[in-house]
Amino acid sequence: MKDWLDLNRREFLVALGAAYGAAATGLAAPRSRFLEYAGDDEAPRERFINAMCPMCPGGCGLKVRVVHGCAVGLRGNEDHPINRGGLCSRASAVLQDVYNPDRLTKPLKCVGGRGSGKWEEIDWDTALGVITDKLSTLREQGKPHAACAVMGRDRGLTRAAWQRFMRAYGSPNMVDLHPEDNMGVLPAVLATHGARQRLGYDLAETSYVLSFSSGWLDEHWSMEQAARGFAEFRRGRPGFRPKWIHVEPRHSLTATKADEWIPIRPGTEGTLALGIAHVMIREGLYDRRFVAEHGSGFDDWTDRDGVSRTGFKRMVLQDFAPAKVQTVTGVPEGAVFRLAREFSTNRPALALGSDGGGCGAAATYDRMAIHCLNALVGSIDVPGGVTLFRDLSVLQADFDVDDVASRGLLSPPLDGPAQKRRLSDNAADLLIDSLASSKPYPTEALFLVDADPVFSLAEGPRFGAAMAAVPLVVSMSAYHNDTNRHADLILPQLHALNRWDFNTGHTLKGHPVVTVSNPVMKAPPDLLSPYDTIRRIAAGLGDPVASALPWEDGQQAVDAVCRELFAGGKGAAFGPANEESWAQLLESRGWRAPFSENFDDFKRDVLAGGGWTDPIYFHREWDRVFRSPSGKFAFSSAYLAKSFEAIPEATESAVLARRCLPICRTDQRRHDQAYPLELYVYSLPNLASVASPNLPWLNDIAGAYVFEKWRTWVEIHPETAEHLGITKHDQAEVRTARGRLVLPVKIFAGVMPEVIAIPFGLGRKEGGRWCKGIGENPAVLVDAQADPLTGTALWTQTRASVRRV
Amino acid sequence: MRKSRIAPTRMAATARSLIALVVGMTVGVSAARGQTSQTTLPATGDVMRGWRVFFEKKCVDCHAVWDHGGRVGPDLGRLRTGRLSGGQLAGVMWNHIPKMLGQMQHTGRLPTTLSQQDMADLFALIFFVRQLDEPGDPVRGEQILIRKGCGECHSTDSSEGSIGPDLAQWGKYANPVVWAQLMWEHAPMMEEAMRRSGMTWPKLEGTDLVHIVAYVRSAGISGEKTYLRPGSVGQGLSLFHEKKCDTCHPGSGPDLAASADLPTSMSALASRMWNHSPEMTRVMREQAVERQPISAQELADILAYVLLLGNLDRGGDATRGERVFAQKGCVQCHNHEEMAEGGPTVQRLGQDAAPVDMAAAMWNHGKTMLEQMTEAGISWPVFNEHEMVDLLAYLKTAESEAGGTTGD
Repeated sequence: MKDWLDLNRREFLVALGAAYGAAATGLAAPRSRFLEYAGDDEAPRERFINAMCPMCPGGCGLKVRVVHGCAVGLRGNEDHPINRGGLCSRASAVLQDVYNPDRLTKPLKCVGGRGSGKWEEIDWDTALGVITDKLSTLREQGKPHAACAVMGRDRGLTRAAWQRFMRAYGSPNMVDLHPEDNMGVLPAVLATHGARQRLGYDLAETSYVLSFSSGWLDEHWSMEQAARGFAEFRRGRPGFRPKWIHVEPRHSLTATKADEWIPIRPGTEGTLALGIAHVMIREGLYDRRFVAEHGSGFDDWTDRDGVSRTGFKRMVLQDFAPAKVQTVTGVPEGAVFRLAREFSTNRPALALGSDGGGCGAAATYDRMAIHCLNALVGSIDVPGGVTLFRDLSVLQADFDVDDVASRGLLSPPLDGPAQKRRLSDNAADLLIDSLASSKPYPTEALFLVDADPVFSLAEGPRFGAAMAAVPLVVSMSAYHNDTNRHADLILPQLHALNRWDFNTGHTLKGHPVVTVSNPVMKAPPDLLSPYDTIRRIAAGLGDPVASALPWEDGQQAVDAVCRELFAGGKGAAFGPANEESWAQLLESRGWRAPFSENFDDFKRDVLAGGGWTDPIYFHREWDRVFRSPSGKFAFSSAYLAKSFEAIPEATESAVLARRCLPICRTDQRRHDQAYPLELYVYSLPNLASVASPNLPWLNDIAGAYVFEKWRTWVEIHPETAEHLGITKHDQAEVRTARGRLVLPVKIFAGVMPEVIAIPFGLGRKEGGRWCKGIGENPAVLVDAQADPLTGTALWTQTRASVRRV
Repeated sequence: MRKSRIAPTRMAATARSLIALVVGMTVGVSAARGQTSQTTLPATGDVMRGWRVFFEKKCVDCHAVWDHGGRVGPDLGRLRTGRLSGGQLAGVMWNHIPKMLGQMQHTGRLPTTLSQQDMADLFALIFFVRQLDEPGDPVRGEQILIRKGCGECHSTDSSEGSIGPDLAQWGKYANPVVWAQLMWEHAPMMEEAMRRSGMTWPKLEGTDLVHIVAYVRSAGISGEKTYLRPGSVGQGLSLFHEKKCDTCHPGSGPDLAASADLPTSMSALASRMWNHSPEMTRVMREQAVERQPISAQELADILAYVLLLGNLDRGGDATRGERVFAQKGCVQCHNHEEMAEGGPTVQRLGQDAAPVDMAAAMWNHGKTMLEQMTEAGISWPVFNEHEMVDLLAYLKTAESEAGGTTGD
C-alpha cells in the first residue's frame, strides 16, 4: 500500500477524503470542502506539528502529521505532562472532526422564523454588523448587563477573550453550561477549604481508593490523564497491589477495572460516605492528629451567641449508623464496616467523588461528605492524597472599565440569586427562569459559545422555549445543533487545528500546565477563529471595549501568554522526561536552573515543546490549602455559615448551622406504586461530553463495552426484568412523571435491581448526518431537582416505571 | 532515541550556571601548614550532560537519583555518606561490576558503552547530586526545633511576641542555603541575645537543617518560593578570596581541602557554618576580620567550591599501589609485557590512570574481563577506599617511567 508521501497532490486529496469519510463508517461520504484549503500547502511534504486536542478540557498535546499541508495522522506529544504521548479514543476522532463534511462554512441567518430550520448564508460583515448594532444600542441605553453569554467547553483563548470582553462591555452574565467539566468538586472544596480550586489526586502514591460514582475511567474531565493515573496506580509499584473499590449504581467502565464493585442506590453516595465516617469515628480509626490540628467543626462548637451547635462527629454518630445506611443506600451493613476499616488502615487512602464530566452533577452535600473521608484519614495535601491545585491564570490581568460597564457589572446575574447558588458562580439551569420571566431584567442578546443547552440541560426544551423572549440569539457553533434552531444567527467556528490557541490545566499531582497550539493547516478562507470573531465584535464597539482585546490575532495572544509565563520565572517548556525530572529534583530542594536564558529562547522552547509546566508541588502549605476563616478543613462549613449570615434565609439559626454540615439522605425512599423503579442516567463514554457528537468513530465505540452502538437502550437487571416479564429482545416503555421513551431492552446484571439505567449522549434533533435523529435523549425523563447550594440540576432523583411494548 | 531539546548553546549556558567542573581547571589551595600547592580538579564533566547520559544510556532503569529512577541499584544521591573522591568512585564502580553485570543479565539488559566523556559527565552528576539533600521531613523538623529549643525565641505560626523573627515568614525559602545565609547574617545578634538569655548555642547535626526547612515550609506561609541557581565553582573560588574567607581558611583555621570530615551536602556544610558561628565570630574579632555581607547566591557559590574540594583525590601512593597491584592479582592479566591471553600492559593501563578514564575502561571492558577471569578461575578483586587511588598512582608512574606512550 502506498504511503501518503508517495501520492501526488490530487491522489492524496482523493485518498484522504475517502479515508476520513467512507472508511470510518462504511458509507459513501462526500469529499470534505476543508481538504481543498488545507491541501494548498505544497512546501514541505511531511511535518509533525504540535497541537492541542480540542475534544475535552483536558488539553492533551498532539503531534499532527501533516503531508502536503493536510493533517493525515495524530499521535500524542510524548513531552506533554498530561498525556505523555498517549491518546484517548476521543482524540483519535479529531481528524474526523476536522474534515467533517457537516461542519458549517459560512455565517447563517435564520430566514423562516426561529425553529423553521431555514437558513441563508450571509457574509461576516453583515453578521457581525447585526451583533455590534445590538450591543452598541444596549450600551447606549445603559443596559450592557442585558447581554448574556453561555459558554460551552472551550477553556483556552476563546474563554479568556470572552471573559475580558464581557467585563469590558459591562455584563456579569457569562454562564458556564458545563461547570462540571472543569470543576465538578469545586463547590465542595469551597465549602470545606474556603478555596475555589480543584483537587488533584495523587493516585501513583496511594494505597487504597474508594471511588464514589467517580466516572474516573468513563467520563473524566481529562480522560487520557485519568487512564494514565490509573495505570500508575496499578503498575507503578512492582510487588505492591493497591486496591480500588468502586461504588456506583451501575457496573461502569471504572467498575470493570476496580478490585470490587459495590452497587448503591442512585444519589446516596454521600450517605454511604458518612456511614463509613461513623465507623471510623466510633472505632477511633481516624487521623486524630490531622483532625485536631487541621480540622474545624468536627466536635460540637459554640456560636457567637453562646449557643451550642452540632459538630460533624455528633451528626455522623447520631444519624449514620451502618444499619440505617444500609436501608438508604442498599449497601449491606457489613460492607460499610469493612470499607471503613480497610480505608482507615491502608494509608495513604483516597476518597474520590465525581470530579467532572458526565451528565448532571452529584449533590454538593454528597461531595462534601465524600471529601470529609479524605480529611478523616489525613489525606489532604500529602503524597498519595488529594492536592489542591495551585493558582494558574493567564491573560487575566485586570484592566479599568468605564462607568457604563461598572454599573452593568454590579447588576444581579441572570443565572439565579445567590440564595440558590451559594457555592457556585454558575448555574445554567437557573438561567432558564430568567430568560422566560425577564426577571430580574430582560435578556436582550444571548450568545451561545459552542454551547448546546437545549440538548445538554435536563430542562433543555424549556431553555429553548425561553429563548423566544430574547430579541437577538447568536450561536457560535461548528455544526447545527438543537439550540441553533432557536437562534437568529449562526457563526461557524474555525477548527482548533487551524488556529493558535492555548489551554490551562493541571496534572493529577497538581503541577500547572499550559498547552499551546499552532495552526497545523491553512485555514479555510471564509472562517474566523473564535478569537477573531469576538475581537471584531469588540472592535465594532470601539474603545474601551476594543482595547480589552489588544492582541491582533491568536498568535499575538499566545505570545502574550508566553510572556506572562516567562515573567513568572518558574517552570520550563515541555521537554523529555529527564528534563522534567531535573527540574523536579532541583526545585524540590530550592534550586532552579532554567533552560531558557531569555524570552526568545523561552518562547521558542515553549512552541517547540508544545507548552509549559512547573513540575513541582510543595505539600502541606496549609495557608494555601485551607483558606476558610479558621484556616482549617471545615467539617462544618464556615464558608457556608458566612454565606448564610450575609444572605440570610428565613430559617432558624439552628437549622442553618446544621446546613453547614454535609447533609445527606437519611430517609429510605418511599415505595411509589406508579413509579416503582429508580432511574440512573449515566454518561455514554466518549459521546456525552464531546463538543460535537457528529463523529462516526465515537458513535461506533461509545457502547462497545456493553456491545451496543448507534442507539439508546435501557438496562434492566435480570431479576427486575423477570419480574416485569421483559426479555432481551423486547422494546420497553420507560415512563416518569416528566415524560416517556420507548427503548430497546438490555438485560444487564451490571445494574442494581430495581434500578434502570439509560445512557446519555444520543438523541439529538439537529446536527450532522452521524448524530441527527440517532437514539434518544433521556433528559426528557429526568425529574431534575436543584442542588440547594449550587442551583445545578440533579439528575439522580427520578422515579420510573417500565413496561414491555 | 529522542534527543534532548536543549540546544548546545543553551547547554553551555546551563553548564556555566551549574557546578562548572571545568577541563583542566586549576586552583590554588593551601596545604595544611600554610604551604601553597596546585591542585587540579578531578573531573571534566558537565552535570546537565551527565543527567542526559544517565537517561539515554539507561542507567536510570536500575539507578535512581534522589528517587527519580529505578530501584535495582543504589540511589546515586544516597550512594555513600562521607567523602567520595574521583578515585574512590572509580573503586566503588569496579567493586560492583560483577553484581551490576549479573543484575543486568538477570533483567535482560545489555551493557551500553560509555565514552570517557560520558563517564566524566556521570561523575560530575554524581558529585553534584550528592551535594543535594533529602527533601526533608516536616515531622522530624518540628521535633528538631523543639529539641534544640528554637521555639524559645522563634515562633512558627505567625504569632507575635517572639524574640527572634517568626520563622513562618521563612516558609518561602525552600533552599537551606538561604537559611544559612540568613543565619550567617543574623548570627552576631543571635549570639548576643542568647548570651544575655544564658542559652547555649544549639548545634545542628547531619540533615537537621533540611528537616527544619521542610517543617517551616509546611507550617509557614506558602507564597512564591525563593530559588537559587546551583552554585558556580568558579564564582565560589573568586568569592572565597573576595569575601576574605581565606583569611581564616586556611590562614589560621582548618584547611578546607584537607579536612577529612568535610561535609558532602549543602545543608550539612551550612549546618557546620552555623555550629561554628560563635567560634568564627570570636576568631574574626580577634583577628580584626570584618564580617562580610554575603548574599544567598554568593553563599551557594562558595559552598559549591568548598564541596568540590571534597572530591579531590589526596595523591595516591605509587609504592602502595604497586603492592596492591600484586596482592590483588592484577598482575596475572596485566604485566609489563604483552601477554598472549592477558589484558593491556601496565604501561597501557597507565594511559587511563585518571579515575574517570579508568572507570570508563572498566565499564566498557568489564564484561570481557569478568568472563576471562571466571574462565581462568580468578576471583574479582575488591579495592578498599584508598587502594584504587594508590593503584592509579602506581599505573600513572609506570606509564610515565615507560616514556609516556606505549602500544597503539
